[in-house]
Amino acid sequence: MADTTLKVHHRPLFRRTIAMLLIAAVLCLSWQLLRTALLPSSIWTGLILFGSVLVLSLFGARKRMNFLPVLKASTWLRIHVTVGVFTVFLFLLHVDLQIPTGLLEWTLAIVFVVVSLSGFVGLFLEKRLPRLMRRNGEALIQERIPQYRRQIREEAHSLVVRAEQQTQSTTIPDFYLEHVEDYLAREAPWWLPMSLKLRRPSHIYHELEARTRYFSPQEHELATELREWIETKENLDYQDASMKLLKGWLFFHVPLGFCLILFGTIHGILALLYGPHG
Amino acid sequence: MARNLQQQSHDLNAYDRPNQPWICGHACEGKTCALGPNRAGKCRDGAAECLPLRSGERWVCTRPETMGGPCEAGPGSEGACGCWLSACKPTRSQRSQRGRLTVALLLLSIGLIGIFLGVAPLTGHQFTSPGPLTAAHAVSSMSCEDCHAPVGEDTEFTRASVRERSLAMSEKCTSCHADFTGEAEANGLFAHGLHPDILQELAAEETERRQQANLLVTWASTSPSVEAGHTGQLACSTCHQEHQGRKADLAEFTNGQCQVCHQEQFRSFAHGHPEFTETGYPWKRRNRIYFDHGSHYGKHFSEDREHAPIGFREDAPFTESQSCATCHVPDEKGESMLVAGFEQSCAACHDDAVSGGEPIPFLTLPTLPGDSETWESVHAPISPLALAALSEEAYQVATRNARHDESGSLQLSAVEEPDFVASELKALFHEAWQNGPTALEQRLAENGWRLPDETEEASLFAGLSLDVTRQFFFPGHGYDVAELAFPALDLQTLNTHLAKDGRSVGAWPESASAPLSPLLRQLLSGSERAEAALQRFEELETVTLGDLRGAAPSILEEAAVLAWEIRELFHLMETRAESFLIGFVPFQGGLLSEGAAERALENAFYLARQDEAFMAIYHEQLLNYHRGSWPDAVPDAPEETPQPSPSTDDDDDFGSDDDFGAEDDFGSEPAMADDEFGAEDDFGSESADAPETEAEPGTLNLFEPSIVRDWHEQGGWYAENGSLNYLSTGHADPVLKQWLETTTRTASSGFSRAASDAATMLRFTMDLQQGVESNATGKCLKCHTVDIGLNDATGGLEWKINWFAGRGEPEEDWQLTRFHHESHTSSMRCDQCHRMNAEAEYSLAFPAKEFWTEWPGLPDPERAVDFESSFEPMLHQKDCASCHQPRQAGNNCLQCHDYHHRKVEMAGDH
Repeated sequence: MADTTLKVHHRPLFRRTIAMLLIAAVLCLSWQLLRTALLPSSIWTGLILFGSVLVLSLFGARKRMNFLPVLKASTWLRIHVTVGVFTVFLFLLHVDLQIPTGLLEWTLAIVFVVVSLSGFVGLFLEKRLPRLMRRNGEALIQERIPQYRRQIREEAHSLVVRAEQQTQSTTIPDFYLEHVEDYLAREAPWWLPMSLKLRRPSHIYHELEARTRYFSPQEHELATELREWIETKENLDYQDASMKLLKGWLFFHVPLGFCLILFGTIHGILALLYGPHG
Repeated sequence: MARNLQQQSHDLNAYDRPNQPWICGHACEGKTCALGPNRAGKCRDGAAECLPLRSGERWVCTRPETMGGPCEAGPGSEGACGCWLSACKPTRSQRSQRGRLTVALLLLSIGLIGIFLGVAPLTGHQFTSPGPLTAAHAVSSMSCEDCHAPVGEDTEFTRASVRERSLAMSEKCTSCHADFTGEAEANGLFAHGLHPDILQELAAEETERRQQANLLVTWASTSPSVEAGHTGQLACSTCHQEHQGRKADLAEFTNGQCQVCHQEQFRSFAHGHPEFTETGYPWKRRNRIYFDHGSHYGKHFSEDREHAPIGFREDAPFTESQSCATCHVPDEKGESMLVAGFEQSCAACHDDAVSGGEPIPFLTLPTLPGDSETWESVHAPISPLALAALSEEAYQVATRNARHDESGSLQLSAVEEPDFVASELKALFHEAWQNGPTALEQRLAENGWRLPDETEEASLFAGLSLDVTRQFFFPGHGYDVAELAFPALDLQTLNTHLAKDGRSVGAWPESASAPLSPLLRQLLSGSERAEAALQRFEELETVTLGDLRGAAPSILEEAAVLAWEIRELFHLMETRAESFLIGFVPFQGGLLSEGAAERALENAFYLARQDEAFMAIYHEQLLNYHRGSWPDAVPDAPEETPQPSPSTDDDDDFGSDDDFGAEDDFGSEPAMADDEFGAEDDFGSESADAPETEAEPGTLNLFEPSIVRDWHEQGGWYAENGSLNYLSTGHADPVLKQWLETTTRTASSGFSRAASDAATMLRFTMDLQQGVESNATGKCLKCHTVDIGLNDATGGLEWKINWFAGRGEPEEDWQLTRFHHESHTSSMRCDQCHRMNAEAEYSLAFPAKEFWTEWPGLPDPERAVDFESSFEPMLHQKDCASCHQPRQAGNNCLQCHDYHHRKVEMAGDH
C-alpha cells in the first residue's frame, strides 16, 4: 500500500521529466539540423530564447494582476518553471557551450546565469521549505512574526514574575535572565534552516535539564511551561528564517530578470543590426 | 511542546497589509497600529486609536483586540477617543523594497549602457563587440566599417532581408579575400567559388546516393537554404563566424555540413566514401619533363654509382631504394611533392649535355656577290629572323620564286631582286643599329608575331647591348659612307696664311665638300690637340673649316692643326683601323672583327679614293713625312713637331707612339707594318698584337674567332664575322626559353606569314639540319615535353611547352582535393603508394627525333595520355581508411578537401 502511494505521488513528476527530456531532445535535434543545414542557428535560438524570457516575465505580471482570470497561479508557476528549464537549455545552445567574450554578451550571460541560478534556488526552496516548516511546527504568517515574538517574550516574562511570587525563589528568574531572556528577544538569522546547530538552542535545554532535578514540584511545573515558550520561540525562529529565505531569493531573481530583458533587447538589436546574419 | 500562537478569530488578528508599500514602524515591535501609514508613507501621528461608537446615551470604545481591546477610560462625553497613536517611522514592505531595487538596477544598467555606448568609438566598440576577432583580423588598421555596413544604409535590417544583408556583408569580405574567390570574383560567393555551370556539371557526374548516410544530414539536405545554395550565392557568414576569440578556428566545419549539399552522402570516410577517381602519379598522363624512372633505376644509376641518388640500392633498385627525397621535396605546405630543380636532380649527369653547344646566328649579313666594297662576304644566307622582320613588300620579293638551297636556307643571290632585298636588309640593320632590339621586335610585331608581354620573364633580345649590336653592323652599314669622308677645307685662305712662314696645309681631296660629320667629330675627340682645336672652332659662329675667310691668325693656326689631325686620323684608319677602333672610347670594351674594321676603312676612303690625284699626293706626302721631310705641314712648336726617324727599315716606317696611339704626337721610333700602336695612346686603348706576332704576356689577339668564342664561353649575345650570335648560358636560359615560347606560340597561331616564319625560326633555332640534340633549343625540347592547350585569348589550340615538372596545366584550373605528403612520408615509405613498374616501356610516351622535323606540324596529343606508366596504380580508398578513423588519423573532410577551390599552380619544380 505504501509503495502504491509512493508511485502515485511520483508519477506526475516522472511524466513531466520524460516530457521535458523529450522536448529537450527535439530542441537539440532541431538545433543540430539548423547547423547542419548551414542555417543561422544563433539567430533562431536567440529569438526563441528572448521570447521565452518574455514568457517567464509574464508570471510576475500575472501575480500583480491577480484579478485576471487567466489560469491558476499554480499553473502559471508550473509554466514558469518548465519554460525556465528550457530557457537554460536554449541558452546553452545559443552560446554553443562557450563562454561569451564580448563585454555586453558576457554581462548578459552573467545576468542570465544569476537569474537562472536564483530561479533554481527559489524552486528548490519553494519545494523544500514549506514542507519542512509544516513538519517543524505551527506555520506562521511572516508579517505577524514580530507580534508573536513579542507575545512570547511577554508570556515568558509574566511566567517568571509569577514563579518568583509563587515559589519565593529566584531559581527560575535567575535561569531566565541568564539564558532565556536574550534568546527570546533575538531575531533568527536567515540561514538558520540550513544549520542544525543554530536551529535548536541546545545549551538552554541542557541547562534547564541540569537544574530540573533541584526544582520543587511547583518549580518543575513552571519550568516545563517556560520550556514550552522556548520551544515556541524555536519554531518561530525557524518559520521566520524560512520565510526570509523564501522571499529573499526574489531580491535577486526579479530585479535581475528585468535587467536580463533590458540587456537581451540591446543584444538582440545589435545582433540584428550588425550580426553576420543580420 | 510548543504552543500555538496564531489566533483563529479575525478579531484577534491585525490587518497586515502585505501588498501595501509602507508598513507601520512599530511592526518590528509587534505592535502595529490598526490603520497603518498613509499611501505617502507618513505615520498617522496624533490620530485616535479608535472611532468611538454611540450606544444609546453612551460612547463605547471600539479599539480592536489586537491593540488591547476597549480602553478602560473609554471615550469622552463628546464621543472623542482619549487614546492617541504614538508616532512611528514607517518602513517599506518587502515587496516595495524589491520594486525599488528593480528600478534602481534598471536605471543603473541603462546609465552604464548609455555611457558605454557613448564612449564606444573611443574604446573601439569593445562594449558592443560580441567578442575578440581572430588574430588574422585583429589588426589595428581595421575598423568595424570594414566588415559591417553602417546603420542607415540600404542593408539595414529594417529595409533588407537577412540574405541580402549577409551577401552585402560578404562583399566586404571579398574585397580583401580576393584569393578565395578564384579566377573570377563574380563566382566567389557560389559554392566552392565555382561558376554554377561548373557546379551543375559536377552534380551531373555525382550520382545521388545515400549509403549509410547520417539521418540528420539527409533531413538537413531537404532544407530550402541548401537547395538555394546549389545555384545561388552563399554568404561568408554561412560558414565563418567571427568574434569567437583570438584563437577561434573560422574554418571549422563538420562532415555533416560538408555532405549536406552533396548528392552522395555517407556515414564516414571509412563507410561509404566514393572510390578515388584519380589513381595518382604518374598515371593519368606522362610526365611533363621526360624522366624515365624505370631506366634510371634499372640501368643508369647502377652504371654510375657515383652520381646515383642517396638511398639507391643496386641489389633491389625498385623495391628497396629509398632515394626519392633526392629529387622530390615537399612544397612549403608539405602537400605536393615538387621535383627538385635541374641543379639538384639532373645536373650531376646532364649538365654538360645542356650547356654550351653551338651558338645560334640570329642575324647574319648575307652574301651579295659583286658588292664587296660595301658588303661583307661571309657567305651566309638570309637569316630566318631577318626574313621574318622584313617589310611585307620586301618579304614578298624575297620569297617570290625563291630558290632555297639544299639546307633550306635562302641566299640573297637566289632572290629575284637581290639589290632591293639587300637595301631593305640594310635598312633593317640600320634601324636595329639606331634603335636596338626594340626595332626588331617592332618589326616582328607588325608582321603578326605574338611577342611576349611585359609580364614575361625575359624579352627575346634580353641582354643584347648596343655595343654588340653596333659591332655587328658598324660602321659600314649604320653610317653612310660620306660620314667618314674628308670634310671641306678652305685651302685658299689657309694656305695663304701658312705661306707666310713657308708652310702649306698639304694635299686635300678636291671632292671634299661636306661639313665635318658628327662621327668624324667624335673620332677626332680622341686626340687632345684635335679636341682643343675643335672646341675653339665650335665657339665661333661665322667661321667654319670650309670657310676661313676673315679668321684670325690664331684660328687659322688651329685650322692647320685640325687639318693635320684629320689627315693623321685617316692615315691611322688606313693602316691600323682595327686597333684604332678598339681603342676608340665609344666602342671601348667591345669587340670588332677584323672584317668589320676593314669595312670601316673601305668606307672611309670610299670617296677619297675616287680622287686619284689626291691619293697620289697624299701617299707621297705621307711617305715624306715618315722620312722626316714634311715639317712644313706641322703647325705647332718644334718640340711638338714629329721628328723624322732615321730608320730606313720599312718595317719601322711608322711611329708607334703617335697622337692616336702613343705618348707623344709622333713617336720617336716611327714604325710601320709589324709594329704596334702604343699601349696607352690618347684614345686610351690597349694595343693588340698582330695575328702573326707572338703575343706578349697579358695581350690578346681579339680578332681570332676562337678567342671571340672563348670570351663568350659563358654564353650571351656577341657579334662575330658579320653574325649576331647567341650562345646558351646553360640550363633554363631565359632568352632561348623566350624564343621557344614566342616561336611556338606564333607558329601555332594559324596559317599566316608570321606562323610560317615562326615555324622556320623554331626549326632554325633547334638546328634540325644537324639533329635536335645539337643545338640549344633542341636540347630544351628533348626533356621539356610539348602539349596542346587551349589559348585563352584566341580560343584556338596552341602548342604549350612544359617548362615545369609539376601539374602543368590541368583540365581544370581549380582543385578541391589535396594530399599532405610530408605528414605521410614521416611514417610511410614512398613505395607503399608509388610502386615502380620495371617492365613498362615508358620511353615510348615521348616523341622520337623524327617527330620534330615536322614540328610544329601535326600534334601528338594521344601520346601524352595513352602510355604505359612506369608506376603501378595507386592505393584505393579503403587503404587510406585503415588509418583515417576518428580516433586515429582523423576523418574530417577538410583534411583532404578544400571548400574554397585552390588555383592549380603551374610551378611544380622546387
